[in-house]
Amino acid sequence: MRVTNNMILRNSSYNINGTKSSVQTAMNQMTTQKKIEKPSDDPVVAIRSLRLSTSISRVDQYYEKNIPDAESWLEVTETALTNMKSLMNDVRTQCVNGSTDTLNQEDRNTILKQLKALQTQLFSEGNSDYAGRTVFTGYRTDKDLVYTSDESTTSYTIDQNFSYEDIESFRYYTGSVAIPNTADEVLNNDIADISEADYSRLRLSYDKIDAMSSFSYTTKDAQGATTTATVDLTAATDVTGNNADGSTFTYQTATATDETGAAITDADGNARTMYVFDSEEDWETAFGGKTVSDNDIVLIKENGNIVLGNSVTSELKTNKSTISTTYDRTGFYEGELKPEYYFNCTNTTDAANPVKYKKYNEDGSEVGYDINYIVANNQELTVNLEASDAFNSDIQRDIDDMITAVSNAISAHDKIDTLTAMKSEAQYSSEEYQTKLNEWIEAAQKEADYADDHLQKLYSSEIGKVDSYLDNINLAITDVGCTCDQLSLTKTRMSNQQETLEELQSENDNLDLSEIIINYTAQYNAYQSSLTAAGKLSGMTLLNYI
Amino acid sequence: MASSFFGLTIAYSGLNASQASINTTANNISNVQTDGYSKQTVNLSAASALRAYQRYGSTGTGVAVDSVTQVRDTYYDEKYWNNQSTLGLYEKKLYYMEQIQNYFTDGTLTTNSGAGFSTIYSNLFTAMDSVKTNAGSSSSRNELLSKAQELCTYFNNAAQQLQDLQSSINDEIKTTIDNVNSISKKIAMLNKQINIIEMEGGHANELRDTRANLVDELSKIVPTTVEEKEVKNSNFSDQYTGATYYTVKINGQLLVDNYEYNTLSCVSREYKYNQSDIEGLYDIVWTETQASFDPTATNMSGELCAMFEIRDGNNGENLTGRVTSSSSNTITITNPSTTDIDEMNLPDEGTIWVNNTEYHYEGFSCETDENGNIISYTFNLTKPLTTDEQAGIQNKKLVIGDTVDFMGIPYYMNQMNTFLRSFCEAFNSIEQTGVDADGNAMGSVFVAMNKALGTEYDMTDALVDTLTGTAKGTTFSSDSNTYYKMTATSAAIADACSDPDHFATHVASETDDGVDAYDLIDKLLQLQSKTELFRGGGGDTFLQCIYSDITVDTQECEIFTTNYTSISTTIDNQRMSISGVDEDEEALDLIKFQNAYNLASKCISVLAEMYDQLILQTGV
Repeated sequence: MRVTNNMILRNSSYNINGTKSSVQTAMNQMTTQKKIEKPSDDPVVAIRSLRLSTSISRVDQYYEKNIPDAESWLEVTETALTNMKSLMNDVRTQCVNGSTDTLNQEDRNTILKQLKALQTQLFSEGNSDYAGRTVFTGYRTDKDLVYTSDESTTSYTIDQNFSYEDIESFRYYTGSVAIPNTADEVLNNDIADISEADYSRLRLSYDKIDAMSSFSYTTKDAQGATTTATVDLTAATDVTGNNADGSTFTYQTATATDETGAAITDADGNARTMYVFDSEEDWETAFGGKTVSDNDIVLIKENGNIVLGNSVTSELKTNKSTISTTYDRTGFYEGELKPEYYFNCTNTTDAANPVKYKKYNEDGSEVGYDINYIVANNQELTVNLEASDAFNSDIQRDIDDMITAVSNAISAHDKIDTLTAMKSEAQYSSEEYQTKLNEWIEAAQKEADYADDHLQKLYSSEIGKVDSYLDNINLAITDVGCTCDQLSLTKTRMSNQQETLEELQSENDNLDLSEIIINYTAQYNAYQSSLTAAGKLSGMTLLNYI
Repeated sequence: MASSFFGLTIAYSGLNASQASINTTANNISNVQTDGYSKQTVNLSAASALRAYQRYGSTGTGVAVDSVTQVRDTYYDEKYWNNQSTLGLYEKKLYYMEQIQNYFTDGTLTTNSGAGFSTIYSNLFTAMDSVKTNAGSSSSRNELLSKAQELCTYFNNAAQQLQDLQSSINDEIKTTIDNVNSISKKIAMLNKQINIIEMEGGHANELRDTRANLVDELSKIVPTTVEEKEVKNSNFSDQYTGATYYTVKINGQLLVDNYEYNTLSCVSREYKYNQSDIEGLYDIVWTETQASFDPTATNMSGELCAMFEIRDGNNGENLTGRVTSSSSNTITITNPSTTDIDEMNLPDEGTIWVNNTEYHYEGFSCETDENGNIISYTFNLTKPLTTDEQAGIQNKKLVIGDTVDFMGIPYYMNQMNTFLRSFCEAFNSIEQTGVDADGNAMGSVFVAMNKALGTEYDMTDALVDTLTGTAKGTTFSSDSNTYYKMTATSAAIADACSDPDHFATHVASETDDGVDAYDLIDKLLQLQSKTELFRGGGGDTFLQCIYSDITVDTQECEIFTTNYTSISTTIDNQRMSISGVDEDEEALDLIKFQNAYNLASKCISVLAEMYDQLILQTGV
């Protein structure tokens, strides 16, 4: 073939261009250390790189954000629970103190003071927050668990359910010594006779309730069929009672009906009746003593006690019944738990816009407000612990009972002290007064003895309860601990995974520097030699020789 | 006896011939770097012998310069031109494919490009995961919404870039067509000049080179075939007139007919062919007849075809169907090729081809089955149909726009639209079951902006009820507020969502479950990869699908560009091997002809001496 100078030039320029583009590719690889510049260079590498980046960004989120976040959250929870445990231990100490039978007035005062302080402190730990988010309140992280100040206008309608196992026996005392103020009263006033009665009761989680709208109990038989008896308290009849001083009070009565609306009666044909009293005093006055007939139920609004007649009790226990109540309460106090964390309830403070809360489903199962963090692929971790899982709302009512018991004991002993002091007063120095005052002192002593007895018995039974509450808290602490352990395992795993993925991506995307340099050098040499070759072509033709 | 002065004439002819040869050599050397220049040679022949009434009969009369012709083999020209159009096709496609590829490349791949789809998409879900852990915080929801906004912006930008590219290709088409016209005009003029020269018996070497150069240029734009026929005297069929008849055809259609030439012109489309096309795309017609010139027809190649394929390529996914009924102003088709609203890519007013006739519609309505699939389209025509036309189109295949079987800009636009529609629909339908932080029912988060009116389409005419999952209606039209309105250009975050509290993390519930409830976020998180959204995969595979599409074409273009470039180089080498000027050869020619000249001069001086001897010395 005929070869012309231009062909040679054209060819060498084509070749130089080829080597130059290889040098450019190698140069690019050297400066970026990446295998490819654009997806079409190697789609497999490109697509794998996309997948790996997505995985890495996910693992980064787990490892660098979610896990540390969960750790801090759990730490706050654990600290709060530990604090709560030590407060609960303090309550237990007071129970132990109160259950000893050698208490003097000072001891009782100390117990009272301590308990009152503990009552407000106990749940303040429940408001613990992590970065402004309350940890024990489920999804309501922007709300407190307990009231931080008294809210006198806040009102709720609360649905509280009990099981027959919640029925406990409790001692009620009729009569109390009213200290005579004048000589005349010393002689002429009746000296109250104190008597003790033991009844079964259900205790509402709140005292000082406004009203109860319904009380019902459901029994499930062996076949699974249920029968429900209801007391519709909205249709209760008002009854007026007379106090000894001539003033009057009102209480309500209503009867229980079955599903068909028929009244439930005992063997004698008496309808099962529920009485609603404002206070224990009204109950005592109305019935001439704190008594409840076998077929009756008494509700004391002041302390939220539902006292059950004996046959009612045995019926509920035998049938393993569940009991439902609905009641209203207005005014909540500092340190009290907000009802929404324990019960289905409605906040009716703004009557026009009631806010409903749900804690239990229709079938009685608990609605979980679990905050789940994704801490690894397909692995979710519940970081939050709901208040109802760690501490029982009964604790406060137990402390209430304990406070009432200790203050009753204090006041009973005060009465003895007052009467004993009266005895040494000049105006009561006569035999008649002395005898009468001794009778008074005897009565007061009886009251004090009952009070001491109640105090001691109550406190020793409370030790058991507090222990079970402590168990709950300990269990919760253990749970949190386990979650922490699980999290730290996941954390190690994620750290490894992050490293592995990054390594994989680097392997996929990046070139080994030594490889690039060798490659670059080879390409550059090829370029150099093509240039050298082209340089030699220049100029010399036959024309130069003629 | 031989003529006394005859030798002078012979020697003179030698001088002349050498002079002409030296001149031609000089011309060759001067044009050694001229593009398209073919080496010229002087054709010499022994001059006609003179009859001498002698024993030896006749005597040579010296040398004659017959012609100066170029050394050129049209066989290589033809091969070169064939190759050029294929090379032009792939080179041009590669150029544009690399740009498209560049728009989609994700920053994680190389260090120098910005964040791409995959990065933005996984950022969205990372932000969503943060909302899951802290649903009550408006800052985390705000973060999520701004990531969602980024996703929209990404698609808006990508669409904008593709449309800009479409527009610049469109401009380039116009320039290219102007170029084709100017080439055809020049060729026609050259044909005339060449014939004028050659009918006189000359050789229009330079003009022929120029003409071949023009065809070189033209063949890269469109497939070009050239025919040159000698014109014989019509009365004496064996008599060659010296003239040639030169025709140039592009893709089989006559462009230059000897002295006459046709021109092409660009006509702006009245109606868009694909939904996301820009306005005013050009179609090409023959200026004279207004007949259409189809640059994407079968056997088409060249840069023009590449530009049209990139500009109009919809991978043949434009709507087709069979006409089942028509009235004076509507045409209804069934068995449509597109049954999913997410994949619809027909413009809201456009062009219908049926029975080889072009009709236009100004809106359409669709009928859907219980699953929301489209079973028929009815087009509202701009001009009424006659009854004959109605009968004629019955049962005929109907095509919307143009079927261009290449994955070009409309294809990628439609892929983005399809992805966005199914993603936004899934996202919105989850959101719509919830309530925002203020307890108000949640609407669409992703909406389509009506740029002209500044209003939002929130897709409330959705075909399927988001709450029940059942089909809501059986018809919708091009004006309905449906996901058809959502495109990569129009996707946006609802204005209402500029308030981060207007975002639902929780289903509507009659109870107050707290600010951190996140059940909807759990569902939204499924969208990242678990919900089937795009081409049978999760949302995160979108870019992977696009990568593989682009890669297939780009790699094909790369490979073929390399192949055809090397073929082109080879052919060009062969061509140059024949017609190229070689300096050494020319130098040899110089020596050769100088020598010949010297010898001829020598003859003259010898003859001069002879005359001197004869006239002055002899017999005086």
